[in-house]
Amino acid sequence: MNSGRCAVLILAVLLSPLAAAAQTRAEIAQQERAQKAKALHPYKPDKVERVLFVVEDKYIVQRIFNPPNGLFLRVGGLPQGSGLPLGPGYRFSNDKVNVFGYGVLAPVSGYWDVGTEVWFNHLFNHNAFIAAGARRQDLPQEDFFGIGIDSTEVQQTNFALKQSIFHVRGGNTPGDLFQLVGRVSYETPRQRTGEDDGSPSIEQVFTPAQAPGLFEDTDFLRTGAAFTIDLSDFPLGPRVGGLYTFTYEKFSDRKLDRFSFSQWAVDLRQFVPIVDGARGIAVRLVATGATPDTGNEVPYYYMPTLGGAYMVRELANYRFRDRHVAFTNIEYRYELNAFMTGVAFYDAGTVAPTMKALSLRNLQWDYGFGVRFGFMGATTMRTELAFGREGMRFVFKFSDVF
Amino acid sequence: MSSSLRIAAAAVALALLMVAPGRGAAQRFYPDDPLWTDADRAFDASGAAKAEVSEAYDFVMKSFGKVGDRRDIRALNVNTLDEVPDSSWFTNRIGRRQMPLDEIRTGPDTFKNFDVTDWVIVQDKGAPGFQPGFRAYDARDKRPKDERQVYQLEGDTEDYPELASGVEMIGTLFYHAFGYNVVDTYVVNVDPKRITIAPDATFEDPNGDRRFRKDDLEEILEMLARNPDGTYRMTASRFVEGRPLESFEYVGTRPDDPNDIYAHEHRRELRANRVFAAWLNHDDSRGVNSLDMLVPGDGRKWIKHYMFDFGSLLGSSPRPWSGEGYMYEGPPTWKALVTFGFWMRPWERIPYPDLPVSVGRVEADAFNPLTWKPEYPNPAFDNMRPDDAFWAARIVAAFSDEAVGAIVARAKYTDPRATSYITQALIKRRDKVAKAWLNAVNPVVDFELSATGELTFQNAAVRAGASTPGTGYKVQWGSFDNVTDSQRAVGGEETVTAGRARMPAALDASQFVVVTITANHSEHPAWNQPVRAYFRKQAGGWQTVGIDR
Repeated sequence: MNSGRCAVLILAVLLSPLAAAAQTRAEIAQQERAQKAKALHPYKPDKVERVLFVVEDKYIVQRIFNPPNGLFLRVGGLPQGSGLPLGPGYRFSNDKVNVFGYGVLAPVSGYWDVGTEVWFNHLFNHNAFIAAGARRQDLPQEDFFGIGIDSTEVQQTNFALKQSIFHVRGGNTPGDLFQLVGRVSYETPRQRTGEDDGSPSIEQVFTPAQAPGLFEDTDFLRTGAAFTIDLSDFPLGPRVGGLYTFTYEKFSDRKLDRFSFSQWAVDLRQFVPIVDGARGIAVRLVATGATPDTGNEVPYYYMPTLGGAYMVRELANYRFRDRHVAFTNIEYRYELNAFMTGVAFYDAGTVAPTMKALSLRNLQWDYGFGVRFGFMGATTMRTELAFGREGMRFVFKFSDVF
Repeated sequence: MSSSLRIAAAAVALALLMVAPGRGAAQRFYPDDPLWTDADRAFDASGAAKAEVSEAYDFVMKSFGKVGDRRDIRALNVNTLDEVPDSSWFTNRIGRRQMPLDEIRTGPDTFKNFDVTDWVIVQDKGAPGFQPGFRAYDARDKRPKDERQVYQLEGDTEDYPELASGVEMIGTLFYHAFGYNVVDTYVVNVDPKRITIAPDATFEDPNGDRRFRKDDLEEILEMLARNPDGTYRMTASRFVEGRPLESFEYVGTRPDDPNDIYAHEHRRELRANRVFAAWLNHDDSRGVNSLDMLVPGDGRKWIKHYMFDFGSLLGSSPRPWSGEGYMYEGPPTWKALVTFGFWMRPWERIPYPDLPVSVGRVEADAFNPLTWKPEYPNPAFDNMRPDDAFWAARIVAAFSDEAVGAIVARAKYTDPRATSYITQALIKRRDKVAKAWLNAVNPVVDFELSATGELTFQNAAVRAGASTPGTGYKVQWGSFDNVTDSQRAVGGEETVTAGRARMPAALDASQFVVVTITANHSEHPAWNQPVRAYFRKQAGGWQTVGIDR
């Protein structure tokens, strides 16, 4: 290359950036924008965000579990110990009526339940509702340890119960300060040999004298009412106030005239905040009593029970049963963060044939601690360790204790 | 070409090579500095689409990850005076000029007297949140459906009358005065008897859109706090022009917007929003409470960035830790767990006065602007540097007591105690913000160099009452070479007690001069940091062209 060509080349190299170089601050920015404009593309969320966005935007959780209309997945709804019942449900609702049907099955335990209900929820200018429905369920592994506070764990047996229930209920609209709900149902409990291989069936250990109504099936007309006073601040997870429910029911034996009885229950819950609501004491007191009509007995499968994750947690489900039961849960709840709550608890309860016979000397108790997960006071999952006279029990539930 | 010509050409080329600035070298100041307008509407953004952003993902990534660029660098969108130019994000208002009280009080409002009495519902509220509401238009608006002016109406929950609506109004007016884009908001009383539902009004439930029914309205009204006369107090927020593109993020840039070139975590007005949010306890100041609108202009479309949803300001959210901690923080969680809750977080000891329920959990005595936190980490807030905070604190300090009072009055609290308490709390919090952040750097500002060489400057902290005057200022003059970005001291260091000094005569002929100032105050060590002000000679005097803080 000769020196002239070289000079021309150097000039070209020098002058080209000079021509492109920004002369003002504004030009610098505009050049950068022009460069960006050549490679625009939409925001691309990663896979996780895309999935979460769809879940939020399309209300996937509500659509799966609780949509106002259409097919949904029903979870739970059966007695404790049934495992995890799952099944399809269908709901139709509009501004006048809510109709739903479902069928659930717990594959391991064999529990199942099918039902339907029609609910007219805007009667009397949205002040009252009335609902009617039917369900049929099979509970093949219900535990029975005998009646009374002296029953022992080694006596554990099980029985199966299949029943149809037809009901009508109505009252003032839920959510009011006071709620009165009346209910009438016709129930057809039918017993059979328990299907849990882990314990003998009830009739192998207990006699009808020890388990009133054993294999003597009858139908019941059940009538009653529940009155609730709700002074709590937040229905899904109260921190302040009280919730008081009083229930009275009459069970009329329609076939044998031997097992008619009446039953009452009082459920008092009080929530006392400490230090600005970040901590609180929650107390629940429950008492219930079943009184047979003259010459009648209370069938063992309808007797009040004590034990399980919602009563005295360290005890097995239905560990004790008798005509009268009283128990308490006392919880100290303390907020860990927006999603977690710590809890320390004490539970105590007893059973007896009469109210007078309920005695502190026979108290079954436990204590423990745990962590709850949820948001804004509502619990979606809880883990607890309970320690009591019969050992230790780990509790894992997708609902609050009360 | 003759050999002599070739030699001459080569020599010229060599000479040019020696004098031309290299690609890497950049002159310090350009002719258009300081830039007061960022022309970020110049390129067409009509291809921008709605960004699908998950709130849960946002929370998880920001609470448990480190998103965005976390380099400790100066904000990218400031001008050479360390100020924020006007843009599609921000318009300098109270920070740069005297805002008359009436303008502060009016805020973004289009209508002086908002007198809508008959509403026609067209849609549900359209977004989750604590405040029940719906979208509606003025029944007198007879324009075609697509042209009608729609408003978002949101009320207060039953147990907390005036709480959310009050702070929505207050937040809107403050954020407008700061300089952000916000939408018109009015406090209105809605008579349920004068609400109708448009035949084609829609309501979104988990099954999708369906007809908005009478019982939907009844359920909404049931959740609302009701006035003694049977009406419902609500805020009506005007839907602004354009096509909504969902919210902006406090991190990165929009990949579909050519005008958006500064990473949001390095935008001064987004970083420094932490200061404003702390002042007003705007703990919900996250990306989801923003809005990008694609708007037409000059034959193209550009994106205008709005702040909105101030309904949880001033402690009106149900979160007791509002402003005091993130929703999830590891160490406090474990401490509380192992001590069975007996370990108390400092904020739990704050005594809140007994006030009407229209006042949230806000107070000024325990307020510490330096430790204030939003709901969960915000990359832009985390990137805030003292110079960002100083910029915002000057804006906060620009609000007089009367201005604060005028804004709070527009919340129209029925109980005068609420108005008085919130006003006083905000004034006290303002002073704390000013004290915390005006003294975190050397607060010398407002440099002017007269044609005769007399320098004047102010002390922003002293002017705001956030500090007593210091013991003096050290002033060092120098010449400045704009091409090489280098300076040379001229004369010795001079100590002055007031914001006034004289430029050495030796600099009279310079094109650029620089003055370096340090201040001295025993309580504020940051005052010792040097601040450099650059001046460019122009016809008739000197122009302040740059500030290094």
